[in-house]
Amino acid sequence: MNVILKQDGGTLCIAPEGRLDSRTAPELEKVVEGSLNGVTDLTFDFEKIEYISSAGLRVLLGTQKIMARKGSMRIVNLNEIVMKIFEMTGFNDILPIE
Amino acid sequence: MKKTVLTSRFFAVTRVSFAGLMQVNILGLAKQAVAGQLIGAEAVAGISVMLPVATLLSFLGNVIGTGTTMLASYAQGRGDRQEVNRLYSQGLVMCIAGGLFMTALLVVLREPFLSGWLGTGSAVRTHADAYYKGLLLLPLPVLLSSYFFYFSVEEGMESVSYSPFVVSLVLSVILGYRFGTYGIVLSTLAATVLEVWCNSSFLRNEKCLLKFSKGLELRSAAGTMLRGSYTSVGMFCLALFPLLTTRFIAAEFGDDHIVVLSCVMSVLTLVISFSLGISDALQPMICQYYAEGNHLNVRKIMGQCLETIFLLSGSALIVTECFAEVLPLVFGVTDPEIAAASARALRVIAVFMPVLSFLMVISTYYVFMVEAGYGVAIQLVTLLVLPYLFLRGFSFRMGNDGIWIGTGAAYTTALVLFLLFARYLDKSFGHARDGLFLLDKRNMARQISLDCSGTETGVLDCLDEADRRLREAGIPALKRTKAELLMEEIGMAVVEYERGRESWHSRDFQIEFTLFPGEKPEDALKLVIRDNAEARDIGGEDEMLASMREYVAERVAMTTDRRLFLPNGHENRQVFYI
Repeated sequence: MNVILKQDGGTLCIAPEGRLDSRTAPELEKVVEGSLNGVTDLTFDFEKIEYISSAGLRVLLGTQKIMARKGSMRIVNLNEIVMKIFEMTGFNDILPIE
Repeated sequence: MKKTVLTSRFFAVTRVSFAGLMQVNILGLAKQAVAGQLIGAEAVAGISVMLPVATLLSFLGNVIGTGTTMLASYAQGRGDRQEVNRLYSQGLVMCIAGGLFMTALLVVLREPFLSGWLGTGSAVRTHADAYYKGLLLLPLPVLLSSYFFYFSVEEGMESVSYSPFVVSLVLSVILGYRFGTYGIVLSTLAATVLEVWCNSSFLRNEKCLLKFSKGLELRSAAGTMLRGSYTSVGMFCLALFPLLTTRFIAAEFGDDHIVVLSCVMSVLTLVISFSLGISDALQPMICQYYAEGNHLNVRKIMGQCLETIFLLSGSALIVTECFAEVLPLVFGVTDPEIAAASARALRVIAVFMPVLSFLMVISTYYVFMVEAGYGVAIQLVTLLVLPYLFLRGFSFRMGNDGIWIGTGAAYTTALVLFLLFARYLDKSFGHARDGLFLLDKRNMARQISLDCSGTETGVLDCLDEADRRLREAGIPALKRTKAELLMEEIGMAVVEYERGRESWHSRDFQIEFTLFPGEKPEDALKLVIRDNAEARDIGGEDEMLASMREYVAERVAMTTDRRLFLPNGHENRQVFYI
């Protein structure tokens, strides 16, 4: 999975690409775990994400727990289909989506 | 060969059917051998002429069993479990009524049958009468045993009990020695009663979902009998052919030659009953897949079935050619001329076994599908009309040997006629059907069938392939995403659940994903997820949620038009209309 990271001090933007499923979610999880040091403001840019399953949602949920102690987290640029998945699963009420 | 949900089930069903048929046929042979060795060749002839009556009883059991399970399989394929329960109960009532009726009928027909219709001499008739006396008690156990067997296979039974076989074999020797021919039929009765108990054990098991429900409908019962009659025509012909031939042989060549018929029929019955039996056992699978619209799987099963049947009939051919001289001796034939005639007859008829097996399998398949009339016609022509006409014609020119050369020529002619008929059918359907199996080509071209072993990688590879194929088919993005989410969450949940079980419970299993896009991309997309892991309604609303996967599966399932969970024996099936 291709993941683009843009860091500016305590602000980090993670932009994964493609499908976030059981195969790729562990890769994203590793990238996130290795990048959160000193980060207080985390943004997931989902512009290029076309599919997300429970494995991907779990990574987001875990990251949100960490960020709740350290600062803030948000998910932006969701396409229509990915937004529908969040709505279907009720995760739009749990995760901060903009 | 790649192990899939389908092949696992195919081999499980074939194994059960094969074991059951082996028992029945070895028993048939063994009993005639016991009769030949302990009592004499007249006893073999006496039993032989009465065997059609026993076969007719099996025929009736087959009619009710296959007729009911065929309708139940279609109902199961549609997901109508209530109708399955109703049909099961209705079939049971029909068996009891049919069993009592047949006993009454046998009592009434005893005199005219034995004294007039058989046309055999008094020595053979004495043994036939003794056998008939025992047959009077058989109808109810035979009907119930056959019915429970077919329904257990329909419900997913994957094992068979060997105790009735052993009991029957041992008792036939003891009772045959003590009471003669009557003792042999008594051993059959004891074993059949035991069979009823064994065959119904799966249905009494708590794993089985069948429930007895009131609801005998005369129209439905008549429909069951009609369907069952179609599927059992082969067995009916198998019973009628020796009856007709016995009269002819006794009149033309004398009673001594009936034992030649006994030898040939024992081998022919073995091959035909194997072909019909395996096809019948596969019927629930075929009907369920067909009702589901899963034509690709129907084709896979039939291809596998033909391979298995050719292997079996080829083996039977080799064994018969090698041991043709032995069987007459086993049957107690002492006359060298009759023994030689029997061996020649066996050698001739063995050559045509693969042809006969093929015709039986394909005609039974036609009966299961909508083209039931074609199947019945093929079986009547192959097993009765042509052999009877040809054996008479050939025997006038070539004597006793002509009977079997004529029968073989009849099978070959039936094959040629069938192939011509298949070409005609292909044309009449405007080449829209697939080969001999008459399956809808357009349906199969749309269908996406993906198999994997029960591993994470297997599920994810199927997911990637499904995504590619659904995009190619132009399925709208949301529909495609829902299907893929259900595939991933349920597939992975099954894998994780099985892995989490105690090691002595976990087993090798497979998953099958089938997607049925409609004719237009906006039509409902049907998704079927099958696995042969432990039964568990993953994502079902009534199921306790054990993981986030199951939560997501349940939430996505709630947005589909319809969802069904249909466990069946060792198979779980989830159906979604998206």
